[in-house]
Amino acid sequence: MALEDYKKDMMRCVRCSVCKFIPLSSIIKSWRFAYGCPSSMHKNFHAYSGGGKLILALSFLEGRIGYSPKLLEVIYNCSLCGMCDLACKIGTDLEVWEILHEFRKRCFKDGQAPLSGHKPILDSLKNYDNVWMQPRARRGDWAKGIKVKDARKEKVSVLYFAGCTYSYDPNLKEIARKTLSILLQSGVDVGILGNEEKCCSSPAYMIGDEETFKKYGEENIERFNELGIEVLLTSCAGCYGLFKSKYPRLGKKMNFKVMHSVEYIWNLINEGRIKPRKSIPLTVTYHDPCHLGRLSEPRIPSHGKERYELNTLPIKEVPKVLGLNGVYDPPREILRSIPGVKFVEMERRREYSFCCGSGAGARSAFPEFAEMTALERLEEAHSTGANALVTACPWCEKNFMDANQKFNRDLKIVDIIELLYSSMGG
Amino acid sequence: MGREIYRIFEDIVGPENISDDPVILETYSFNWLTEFLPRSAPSKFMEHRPLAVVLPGSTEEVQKIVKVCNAYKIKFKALSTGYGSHSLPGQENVLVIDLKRMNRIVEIDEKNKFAVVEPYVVWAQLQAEVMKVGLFTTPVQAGSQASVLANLTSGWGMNTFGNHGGHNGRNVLGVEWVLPTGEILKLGPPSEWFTGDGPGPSLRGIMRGHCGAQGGLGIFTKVGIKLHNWPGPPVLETEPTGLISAYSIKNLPEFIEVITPSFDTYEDLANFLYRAGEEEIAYCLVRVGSVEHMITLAGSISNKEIFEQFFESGFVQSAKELIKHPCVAVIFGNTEREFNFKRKVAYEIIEECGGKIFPVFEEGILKKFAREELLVALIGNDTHFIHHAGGFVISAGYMGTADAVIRHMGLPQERLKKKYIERGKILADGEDSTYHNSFENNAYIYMEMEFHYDAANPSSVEDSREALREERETLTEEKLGFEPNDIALCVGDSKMHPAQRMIEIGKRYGNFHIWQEKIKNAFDPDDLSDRSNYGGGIYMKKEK
Repeated sequence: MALEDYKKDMMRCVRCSVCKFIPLSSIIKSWRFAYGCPSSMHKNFHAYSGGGKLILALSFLEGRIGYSPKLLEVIYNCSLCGMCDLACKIGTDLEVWEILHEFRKRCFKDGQAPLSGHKPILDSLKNYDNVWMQPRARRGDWAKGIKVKDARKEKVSVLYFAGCTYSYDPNLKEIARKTLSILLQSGVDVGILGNEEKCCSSPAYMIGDEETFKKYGEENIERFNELGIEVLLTSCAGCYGLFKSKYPRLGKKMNFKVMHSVEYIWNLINEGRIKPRKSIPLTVTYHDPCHLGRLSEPRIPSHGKERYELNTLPIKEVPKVLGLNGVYDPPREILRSIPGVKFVEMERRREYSFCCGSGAGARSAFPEFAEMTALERLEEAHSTGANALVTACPWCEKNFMDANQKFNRDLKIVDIIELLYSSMGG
Repeated sequence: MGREIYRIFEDIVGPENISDDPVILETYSFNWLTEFLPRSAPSKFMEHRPLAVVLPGSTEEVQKIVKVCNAYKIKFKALSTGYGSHSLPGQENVLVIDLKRMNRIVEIDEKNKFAVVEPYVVWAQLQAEVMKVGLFTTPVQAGSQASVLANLTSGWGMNTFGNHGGHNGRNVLGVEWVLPTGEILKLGPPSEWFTGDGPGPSLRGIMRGHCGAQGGLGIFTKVGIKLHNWPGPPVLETEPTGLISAYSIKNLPEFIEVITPSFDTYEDLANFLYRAGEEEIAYCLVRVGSVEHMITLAGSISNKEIFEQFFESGFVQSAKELIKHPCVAVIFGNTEREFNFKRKVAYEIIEECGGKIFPVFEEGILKKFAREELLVALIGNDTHFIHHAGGFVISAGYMGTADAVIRHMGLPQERLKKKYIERGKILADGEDSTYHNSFENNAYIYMEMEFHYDAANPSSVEDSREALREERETLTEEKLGFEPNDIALCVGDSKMHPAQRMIEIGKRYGNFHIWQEKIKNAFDPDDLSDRSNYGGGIYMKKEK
């Protein structure tokens, strides 16, 4: 797997600028919210768009440009949200996301990365098995006081994987607790790994550290297989996206199904095992996290393998993924099931949702990018008339909360589980 | 660029809006068709990087930049969404003025049916806003994410709904224009935007001519655009279909129909176009080429799906028996009565002219495609569905009557295309891939033929180049006119720049290049607004 594999795709970019926008005009609802690429919105020069980075990758391969602080800044001033890839794929088979990611891997391989903002994350991962520089011995503390099976000792059908952020962040660990409580109240045979849970390694993967990703990925798959679980369940969209979309790339058999808590809990509501009763008088809008949405579908990279038909029609054997099969309906259905909640949609939603700005190391290395991207989304949420922005990802929540506070926006940032839990009388 | 001058520009736009870093400049050295430009070795990159790139945020900043360029004799080139090699500087030492920050809709006047926009407003944005007040803006043929202003003022002005709305060169209702000298000129009435011509002689012809000056005559910072009636919902709602175009429109306008007739001969099709024009029934009247061509332009499904579902399955072979000369007409009605009338007339005319509705579009998934998904592409103007082979180039286009277009299509083009398909380096999308739009109730038609090639395959690029060169020579030999646009010209000869080619053509077609040169000299005495894609360009001096 190498950047070179995709040289033909780079050459096929026509620089049409579609990668900067929401791809189809019938999906664009206004002048204000027509853009899809946070990097290009933030920095304006063409280099920052998906197409711009394809051009730079080609230039790099041809030796026209070499490593420089500016090149690294352009490559990493991006949350790898995948909007440019989706926009381009509406009309082509180009693998834009793979190229952007391969470029990062090349930087890593050549010793140009990690950037200073990413180094602490990787050091923490290697030293503590989490990205927040917290001791391993406190990983399971979030579940203290909850009577739940220890999956290391007892066989369970569902393993709840809290993830680094829900495990350690004092403002967010309640979400993991409430999720677990809901599952237990519904009689789900669920367990946790406690202090033995290790990072999914999504940050390493997104930054381009393939070796670390491989180590954690393979160890995790092996561990989950050993446990004999049926379902690996997480509330973190970042973990979910990696388990579902990127772990299969490791080529190891995964004997379990990956689910996000919104999928699982919506099933419980459907089965009548959960009943939201208490009215929550709130107008809410929902933010689709990229890794729960368009980036959650398994994608098989072509590695540039193709054949020609009809003389010059390049045919790749891998399926084209347009993000249509992300987890979009369960969170919406959960919100609609809560009495008193009025649900309104943002213009950019589902597979063409606008990123929160936090992902792929962008928040750590380029906080201003992350803030401005979150602000853009807060303004879109505000434009719907909603009082609250609901989401299902700790990274999005954290980024929105910080931007909300910094820019004095009067919007509640709420995790969907929190809302459901309140409605269940929690 | 010297630091002193750099700092002057930096003071105008702010440090975050200027760069001369090679990483930034490199992305302004690559574009659609750059592989065809003359150079010493094959490459997707231009031979020269720009001096620097600036991102002005207002007309005032643009004017200041141009004045500095005049003071220091720096050449400049402005671009907006920038699709195509003509958006890039064609010579050394040029400052790129990227207008991305100038992205506002200045005004929508519902009563007088016009809008005023800045350069980086794309068609989809303007359309979304004007639909809310029951209006429609003629599309930009480069796609829904392409600049409205560039199409109206500086490019070709083609659009798919021109049968009702007219050529976009005729939808200009005034411009705000920073001349190459730095003066600001407003065309149209002084404080309003209801006509493209103000008091006194009109400058519209000089401002854009037929093909636009491609940035060679200064910078347009605002344009007034005529709006048309939209008999549809204020907001379109889409839903994923998973079929050919991935999406269809949920709330289709009540009184709309896509009619897809086919005719056995081109003469029959031409008669239909004339009759449809006479009866004024169609918003959109478009001819797409062969069945293969139509299929390879299919929406967002993968190339693999295109090949398996339509070619390997034998679909194309059987469809070819039935579909000879296809046409797509979109019928809109403001009322049920009007719609029914237009529809009835359309079907009567089809019968009268010997046409048949494509039977294959009346069943299965293709019915949904023809009735609903096609509208996503047509109403939505999402022409970026045409990149399936990776690259495409258009023949020397032609604008004329349906009868004249027949001669172009039948005589050299189909024969030529077939030959090159057999050589195996361009997409086998049928020998007839001639696409055309009718304008102003078929008063005239713009046609072009597409060659789809693989930009990553040098021999495919070379064969496309050769095909276009041969096509142009044949057209000239047979005394058939063609549109002297730089897209078709730039692929003609690996040693000759499109501007040089323009001189050759000008000599045969009324010396238009000399008239363009006179305009250029009058408006830009110091030759600062990069003229590489306007008339004879930098080669005119040598010509003298």
